[in-house]
Amino acid sequence: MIRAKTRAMTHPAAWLLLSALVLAACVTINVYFPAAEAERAADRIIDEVRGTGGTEEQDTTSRLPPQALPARFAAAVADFLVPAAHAQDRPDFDASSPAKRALEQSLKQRFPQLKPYYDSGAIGLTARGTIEIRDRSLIPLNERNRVRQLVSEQNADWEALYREIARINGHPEWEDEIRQVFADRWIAKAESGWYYRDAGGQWRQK
Amino acid sequence: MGALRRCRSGGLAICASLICLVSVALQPPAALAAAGFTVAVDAVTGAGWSADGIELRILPGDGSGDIAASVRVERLRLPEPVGELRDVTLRCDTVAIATAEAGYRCERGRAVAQRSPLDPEAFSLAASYRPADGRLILELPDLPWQGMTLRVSAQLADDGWTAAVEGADLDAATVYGALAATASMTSTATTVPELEIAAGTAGFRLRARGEDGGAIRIDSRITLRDLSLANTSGSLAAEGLDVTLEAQARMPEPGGRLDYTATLTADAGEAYVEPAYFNLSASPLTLASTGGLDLAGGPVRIDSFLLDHRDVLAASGEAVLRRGEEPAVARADVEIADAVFPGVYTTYLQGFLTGTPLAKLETRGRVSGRVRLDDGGVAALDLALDDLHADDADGRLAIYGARGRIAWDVAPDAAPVSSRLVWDGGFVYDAGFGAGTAAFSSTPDRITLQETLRLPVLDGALVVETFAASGLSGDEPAVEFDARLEPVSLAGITTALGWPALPGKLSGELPLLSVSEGAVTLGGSLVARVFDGTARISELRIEQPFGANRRTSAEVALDNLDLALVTDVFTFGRITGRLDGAIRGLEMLQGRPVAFDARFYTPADDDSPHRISRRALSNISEIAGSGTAALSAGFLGLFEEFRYDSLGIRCVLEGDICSMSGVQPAQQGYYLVKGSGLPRIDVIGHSRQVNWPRLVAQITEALKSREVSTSPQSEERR
Repeated sequence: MIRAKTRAMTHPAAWLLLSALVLAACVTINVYFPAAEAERAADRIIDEVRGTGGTEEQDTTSRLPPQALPARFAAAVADFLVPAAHAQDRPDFDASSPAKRALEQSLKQRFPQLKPYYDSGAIGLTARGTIEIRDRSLIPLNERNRVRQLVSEQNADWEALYREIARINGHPEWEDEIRQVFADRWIAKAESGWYYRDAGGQWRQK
Repeated sequence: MGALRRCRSGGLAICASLICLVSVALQPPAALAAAGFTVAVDAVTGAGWSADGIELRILPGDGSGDIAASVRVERLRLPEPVGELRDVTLRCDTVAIATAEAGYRCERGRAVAQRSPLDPEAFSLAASYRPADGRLILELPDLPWQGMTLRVSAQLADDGWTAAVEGADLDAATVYGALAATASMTSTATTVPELEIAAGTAGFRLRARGEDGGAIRIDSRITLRDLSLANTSGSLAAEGLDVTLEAQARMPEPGGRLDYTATLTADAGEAYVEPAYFNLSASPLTLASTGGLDLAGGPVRIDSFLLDHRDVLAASGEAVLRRGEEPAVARADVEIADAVFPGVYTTYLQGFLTGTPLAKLETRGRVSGRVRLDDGGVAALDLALDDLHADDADGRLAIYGARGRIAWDVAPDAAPVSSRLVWDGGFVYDAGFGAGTAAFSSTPDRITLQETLRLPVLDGALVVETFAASGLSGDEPAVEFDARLEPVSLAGITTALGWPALPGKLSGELPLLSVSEGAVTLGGSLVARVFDGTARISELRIEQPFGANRRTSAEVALDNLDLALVTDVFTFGRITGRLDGAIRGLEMLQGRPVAFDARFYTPADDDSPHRISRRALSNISEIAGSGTAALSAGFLGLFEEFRYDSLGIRCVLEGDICSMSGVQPAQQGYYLVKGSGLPRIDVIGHSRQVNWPRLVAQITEALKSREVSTSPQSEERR
């Protein structure tokens, strides 16, 4: 009996079934962060805020490491096993909410006021999905306090947007990952001449 | 020998030293000098200086009685900032030797000194020495120093010395470089900020006088024209700045305490001292001050200052400033004679308020009074407001015509102080308020409203009977609060919101208010007698009331409204009967709903006539996404009104999706209107998930169509 059981468990079909069950269980609680979807959503929001609609030169190369094969396989199996029932639980980074729309609108309205300072190098992109005054000397003296205020408001909106996207998707704990995706995509999509902080915190010019 | 002793004690500068040596050498009879000779001295040392390898040469004169002399010093060490000089030669073509009373004079001198073999510096000099009273006079009209040419003169005597240095039309960057180099060499406690000077000219005149007993007096005037500068971070910058500084200082002993009187005038250009911005061309300023400091370190004592910043601020007072890497105000007493808005706001205040609700105000008015600062910021204030207006550019808050007195003292033993503020009106978001008076009494830790505050709102008023906030030094002050809303016409409120004017009045008791983690929670409820029923708003809570992401939550209950009255106002189509309702968990972001569970339904015990017009049925059907064609088809088209058993709608909003349901489930969908009698009309909703923004647009559209149409075609389009 013992031998028979053991043999049964070593049968490939039994393993597959077990794996599938485990994977299905995994998927229902959705613990993996869907970085590729987040990237695409970030790109759309960034284009919207900049009012570019993605027409200008873009770096379309993903900064994500290629997803490990087992994980992709797991996702495929999971999609197959839990097609409809859990579909609504899966994150949708394009899902809208009044808060998200309000924040996007506010970011979009403020962006043209900030654009000249991105272009001059006075402000740059941080590695935390925010902006920072990089070189005050590039801002006329009488505009410095206004730029400080604009930067402070824009950053407050970005932080709130990252929090809201995580909240809509039912995963407040994703806020950091979402922020990171936006940080990377902003840098990837920065116009030539803009400044950004690299992973080591040093300013670099695109 | 007496002369040599004096020379040692008075070793002031290179030329003074050399002329001293010459004069010592010339003590022998003049006849010997006329023949010419050479004297070599190994070394001479004095306090702070030394000279090695000295060779003195007296040359025969031209027969007029004068002689020529030269001194060569291999190595001359002088106190910093001059330092060590090599191969110093000094030649005087006209040395006049007179009696001991008249002394000696060198009229056309020429000196060459070099700091390094490649960098010889030559300059002219004239000097005289009178042995009788030991007076040495030195004139250096073109002394090279750190790439500049300065005019230097000095006089040494038994009873003290004077020295003057002047420079005109100098390059400001060069002067600054020289000063910074000097400061770093002398390594005093004074730190020079790292500045990059892009443009500007400098001129200065410095006179110093040493008194018997070692005291030094300095009288200086420095002018900077068209100066452009910035520090590395850009937190300090100026452009096209014209500044004049006149200062007198006295040091009882060198390197010790320094007492000063100074006047700074800045009358052109602009300056940024983060976060303050000065447009000096528009508003020149003069700052006069007296005080003292210890050169070895320690704080700067400003005994008095008087600031006259035109159209911005007139103030005076005294202060103590801490020096060091981050200079700061340790203590200050400021008497504000006149602070003029908006100048004082844009120049001094706005930069400090970045990121707060007060960062974007349009201001007007005047303030005067007293402010005391200490380590922790404002320690006490007593301000008189004169017709002050402040209006937020983002429309969050405004106050007009504020006047009165605001006082506060945080000293632990301070006696309670009273404030009284009167205003003409203002706004909190869309809610306008009228003139009012607030009288407060404050102690360091507590503010108490002293008399009832009546704040007119539309035709009613918010009456605050009690307000006291304590624990102000902590993060979460405890608030005692008791207020009531005197009836306000709903018409005013709803038209302010762009809705049709509703009949009825809103009033309520608000017995509690608490502040915690930036959120304000109101206890009690606001009640409106409306449409013969009541609407009650309770559990009102506002997070970040003036923040960018203002979140409001509340519970709303509607009780026994007369639908006939409701539909008269909203021209939605006439319905009779009663209506109950509740909006639970209402959450609004910046005034727009983002989540709620709303239900409106016919009360179970309602026995009033239930009738609904075809137009209302049509509108409800549209909202539910159902067709209305049946209403106008066939014999139904003959009826203008139908009877109903019950009606109701429920929408659970989350994000943009409203999950809809009605009075009860139907076979496919849910009943929005359950008809009764004949002909019986049921409205059944099928959409479970409705896009909320679209629904709002539909409802708005339905409410907007005020002209009640009688044409069935337009009523029931499909």
